[in-house]
Amino acid sequence: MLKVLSSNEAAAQAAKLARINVAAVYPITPQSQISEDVSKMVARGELDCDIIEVEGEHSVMSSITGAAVAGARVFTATSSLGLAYMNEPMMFAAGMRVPMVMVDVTRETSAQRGISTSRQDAASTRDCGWLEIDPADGQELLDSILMAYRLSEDPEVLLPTMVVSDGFFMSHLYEPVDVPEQEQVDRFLAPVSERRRTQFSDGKAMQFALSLSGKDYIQYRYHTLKAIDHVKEVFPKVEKEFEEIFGRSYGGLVEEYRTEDAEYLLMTNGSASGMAKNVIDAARDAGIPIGLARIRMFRPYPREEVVRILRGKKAVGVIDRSICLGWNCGHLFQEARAAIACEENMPKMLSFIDGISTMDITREHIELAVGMTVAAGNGEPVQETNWLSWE
Amino acid sequence: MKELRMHGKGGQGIVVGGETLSNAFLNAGKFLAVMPSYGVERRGSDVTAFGRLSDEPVRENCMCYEPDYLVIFDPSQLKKPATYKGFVPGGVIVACGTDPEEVLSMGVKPSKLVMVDGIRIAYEVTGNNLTNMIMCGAFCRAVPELPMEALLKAIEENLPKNFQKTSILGAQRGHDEAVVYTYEIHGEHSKKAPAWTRHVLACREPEKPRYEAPWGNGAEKIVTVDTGTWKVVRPVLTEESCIRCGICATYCPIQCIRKGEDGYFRADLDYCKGCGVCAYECPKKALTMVQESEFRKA
Ligand code: SF4
Ligand code: SF4
Repeated sequence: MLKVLSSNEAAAQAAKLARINVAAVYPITPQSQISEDVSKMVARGELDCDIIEVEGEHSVMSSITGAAVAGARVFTATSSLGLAYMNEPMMFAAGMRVPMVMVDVTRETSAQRGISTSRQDAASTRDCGWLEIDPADGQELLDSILMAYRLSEDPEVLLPTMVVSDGFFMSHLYEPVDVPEQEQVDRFLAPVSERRRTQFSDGKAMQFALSLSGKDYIQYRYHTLKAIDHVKEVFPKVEKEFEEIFGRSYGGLVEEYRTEDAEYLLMTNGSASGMAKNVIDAARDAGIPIGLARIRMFRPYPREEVVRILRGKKAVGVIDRSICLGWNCGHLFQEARAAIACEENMPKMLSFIDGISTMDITREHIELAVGMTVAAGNGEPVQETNWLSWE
Repeated sequence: MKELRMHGKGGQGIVVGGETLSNAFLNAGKFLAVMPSYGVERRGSDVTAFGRLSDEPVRENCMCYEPDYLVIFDPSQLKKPATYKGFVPGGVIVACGTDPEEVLSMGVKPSKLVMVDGIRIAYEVTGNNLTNMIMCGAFCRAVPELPMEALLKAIEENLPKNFQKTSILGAQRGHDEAVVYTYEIHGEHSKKAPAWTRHVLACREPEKPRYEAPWGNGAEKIVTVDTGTWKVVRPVLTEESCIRCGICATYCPIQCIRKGEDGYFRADLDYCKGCGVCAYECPKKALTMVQESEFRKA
């Protein structure tokens, strides 16, 4: 049923539909509405879930890790400094191969009291061993959370998943969202009791974070890597099943928009993608053969897909809401460029940085990125990294 | 696709107003995506919200720079140039006020201007300056695509029970008491050429920041906020009841109450934001909150 929801409210609805058993959430702008909504659902008796009250995000992650190994389906949400504070137990959760889903509502990190948007927080966790899904609006966020549980709990995967929602531009945007029926969700996502990994019934003690060293340790690292990589196979299947039940799908690891006959591409993720599609439609009307590649899964990074989509294009302009400090470019740009290195027939790559702090990724900025990408494709000497914010 | 921008003050329920309009449009088979501006929102400070209206789900998540619709929730926003920035000539303005000249003198060219004395109605209906539902009602009057039934249904289905009676009454009065002015607009509005036609090979670099690092005493960054412009009510002292205890001054959140030479404590109205904390805390009930409009008349 269509309901007007903010992305934060949509995330809370998804957690409820997933029948989470345990949640621990520490409030932080712009995520707080998620924690409030989940707490209200529990208080009203609409959701049978234990809420662990904690004093900070480090304990959030630690406590739900414990709950998850004990067999619960767990949920949390955070943002910015909260995510940074969780960094250590996040690595622990991934190393322990614990299935769980967390929503990161993106926000600038601490410098100059950045309470506004930016994906710097999420980008800084890219090597924690978590899976990362990047929806573009509230509907896709709700749907991605449901898919994230399927991925996380897949016996061949068993890894925590972060679903990223752009602070303010998604979290505080209200629009009609199709909230599925519980019965549909139950068909897609079986109750966690059917997937329980740990049995305490025989009274035996269990240890959950074995201490290993040397080659034994590396062996687990390698297995973790394989499991992450395996997601590239599992995810399209999960999405297909999702489509069969709910009638919606988003295009797999990388959504392609008008790419088939394109000579140029823009690349985005998250909430900037909608306006980018609009600009692409307008540019197409003006005779510019351009398309959009939207990265939906950042971890594992869809290298093969990116190479396939970029091959033969003249130029690609990548728009990022985060900065690789120490290398003047954005994270999406850096990874795409690494993916195509040493491949043949690859485009010229440009990095655009925009939408940080209270700055908006505007139509005009995206249009400018289109113009510069086309110029680069035609061999003009365009600067590699450009900050659109002063234009 | 039509763009909508809403201007008002924190505490007037603009976010709920936007959400309610979105629900109302959904009832009418249309999609409205709304997003408030963000920042440190406080009761009384300026608030802006953006909306996009379409027959299809809206895919853009950005602010609006060229609104076709403007909804002004508070008379204090009528005289601010920022309120009208980018307004598309021939668009529709729904404003809280009574004098169309106040809007037209700002240089905008609406094809339709709908004015409603929202603050007066708000005080009559809710006893405060909560104009959101009144302006939603007036918006229905201005925009025929949104029937009043769709709005009333949105209120009934989505607002908390204890707000419904006043919300419905406010919306209905906003709709019925609004005055509609229409204007003929001549000439086409020329859209800006797309930015890809500019031949840019490198984006601009920023100027060097004031400090090498964000350190410094910040003295030249200190700004004084005219919190006095936020108020819709002000504290009025009844000297006969006042015992000059100074409790009001202690509690005033912006510390604008000072002791005068006669020993009485009075608010500096340049800064008093009309929150009413002083009147609430006064043990002798010597302070009364009186509507600003009473003083404007005088
Ligand atoms: S708190 Fe009341 S009685 Fe005390 S000084 Fe203020 S106005 Fe007078
Ligand atoms: S209403 Fe009273 S407490 Fe509030 S700002 Fe004015 S003087 Fe201070």
